[in-house]
Amino acid sequence: MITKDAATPRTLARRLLPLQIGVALQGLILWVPIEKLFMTQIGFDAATVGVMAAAYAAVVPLLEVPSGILADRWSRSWILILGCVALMLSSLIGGLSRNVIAYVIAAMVLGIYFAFSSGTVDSIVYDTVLEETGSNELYETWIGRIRAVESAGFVLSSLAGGVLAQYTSTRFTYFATIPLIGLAIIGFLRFNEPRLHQAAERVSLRSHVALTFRTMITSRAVVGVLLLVATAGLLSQAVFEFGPLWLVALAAPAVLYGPYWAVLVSTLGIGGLLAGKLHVERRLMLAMLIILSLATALLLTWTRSLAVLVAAQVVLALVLAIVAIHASRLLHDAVPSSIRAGVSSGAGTMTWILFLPFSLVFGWAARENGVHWSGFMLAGAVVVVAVLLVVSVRASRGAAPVEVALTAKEEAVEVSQRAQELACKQLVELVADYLDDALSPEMRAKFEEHISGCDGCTIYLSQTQRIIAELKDLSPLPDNLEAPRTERA
Amino acid sequence: MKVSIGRMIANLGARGRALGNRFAWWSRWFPPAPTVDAERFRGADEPYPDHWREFPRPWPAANALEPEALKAALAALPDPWRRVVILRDIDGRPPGEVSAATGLTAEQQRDVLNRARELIWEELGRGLEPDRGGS
Repeated sequence: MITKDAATPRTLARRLLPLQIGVALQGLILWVPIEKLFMTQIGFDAATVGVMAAAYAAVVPLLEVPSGILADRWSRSWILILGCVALMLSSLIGGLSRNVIAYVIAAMVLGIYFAFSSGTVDSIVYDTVLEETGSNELYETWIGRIRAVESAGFVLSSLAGGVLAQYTSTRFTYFATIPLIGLAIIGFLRFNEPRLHQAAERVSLRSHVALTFRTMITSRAVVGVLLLVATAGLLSQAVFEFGPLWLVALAAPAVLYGPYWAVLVSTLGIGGLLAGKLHVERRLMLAMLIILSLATALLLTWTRSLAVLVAAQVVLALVLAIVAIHASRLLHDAVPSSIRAGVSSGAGTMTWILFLPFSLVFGWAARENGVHWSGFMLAGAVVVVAVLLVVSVRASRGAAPVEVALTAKEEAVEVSQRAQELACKQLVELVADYLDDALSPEMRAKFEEHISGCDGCTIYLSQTQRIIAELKDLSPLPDNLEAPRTERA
Repeated sequence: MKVSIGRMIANLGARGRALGNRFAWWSRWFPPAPTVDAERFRGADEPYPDHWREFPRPWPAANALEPEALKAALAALPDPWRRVVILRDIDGRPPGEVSAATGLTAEQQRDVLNRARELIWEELGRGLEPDRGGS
């Protein structure tokens, strides 16, 4: 097992800075906390809010594949910029809208933004890290930093949006968002995007989906966990989407929406930290989480106190965040890394597909019987999640935990240790280490044993050595091939 | 400790996408990028998984590698990779010196070199066998 403290080279941090600034600015969507309030002001009721949610839930999966292909074939930065343009356009249409139809159109344009931005930053960060360090080891650290910056943007905009709405108008927050997103575009334009498509070929979304279906058909354990991830995602999305309707029903003042939304969004981060500390697989913890979520969901069906209501929603969101993170860990444990991307995409798609009818029914029920009554739908979904959770956790007991993301080299070492031999695919990952004499004696012995019996790898190794020998002969290099921007140490 | 917190946040970020809330992300995981194109190796459900699907073709004997082809392959590398290859393989500088110049650890240099050499290898292989390059 290769363990090391990976250092961040200076150039990587410098190169990712404009991207971080862009992502932070892109998170400053001032109208998010007061959206539901504004919607009721222009004539939405609970049912039409459900229709609106269903409308963008339908747009996102439709555009996901084309935007992914476009990002790989063309430019990922430009896909981010197009997403920003869609966000600006959606804010403009939303701000100008005076009726339900116009706002639903704004929501569908927002769906374009979701489809374009989702996964794009991840792949940019992944390829940039790979280009700068030759390995994906720092990917998690950097995507974590970028997500932290993004969340800070969300929290800031939640607080600022509520205050802004209180002192100007809810409509103004839509227009105030537009220049901030414009600034985000400048950040993305200044970013030097990676162009590593030939070396870092990712599995196509289509093959992800095909593999997902194959896994779903053949592995029953995966199906259960997949359903768990999707329903937990659905429930969490429902709390975020319909939670503000309770505040609207209780006529909460606009200034409260900001802090409310900030706390709700922060449960995603806190839940992530807690999920690492809690042992969800233990019976007592599992029972506590289930009772807590069921109790808060039921509380939402009858409480008329604003404080209790917000507390219940926050606790429910927090528990769901913890459950969702544990569920996706179970999912990643249940599938090999080669199809992890496909299966996760499948879970995401399933969430959207489930959310579409759920939001329509939820909205309809909330209009007919009041939003408190439709809280029973949340409670029902909680029961489904609880059952799936118990089943999946029980099935997973005793299974060895798997490291989430390995570098190609770490994976090669691990695979060869598990299989008791080194295969060609793993050997090629270790050639540079072999030539630098950086392998452990044990791996070196395996490497040499494999080479002595494999013509393919002997050819590969000798050709690599020949490349190195002939590269040496190129010295001194003509100027046009020198590395750009040679710095002084 | 710093790394583990970073990982935790990252896992949260990646896994948070499964939350599917309106401001969460679309779920796309990234399998580790292989050095050599995965298509060159047999799949898990084939006989001899992870072994060459087809052996690399032997190259013509000595001195057949055109310096021009090698330079072209070098020029096609991403900038950070070319820089490491020039310092390490062409100028023959030791890892310590290259660390000082680039900020990359010796381990990271090896990762870069392995991928860069492989890209050059693919590129040269294409040049040596024009009939196979089209696909």
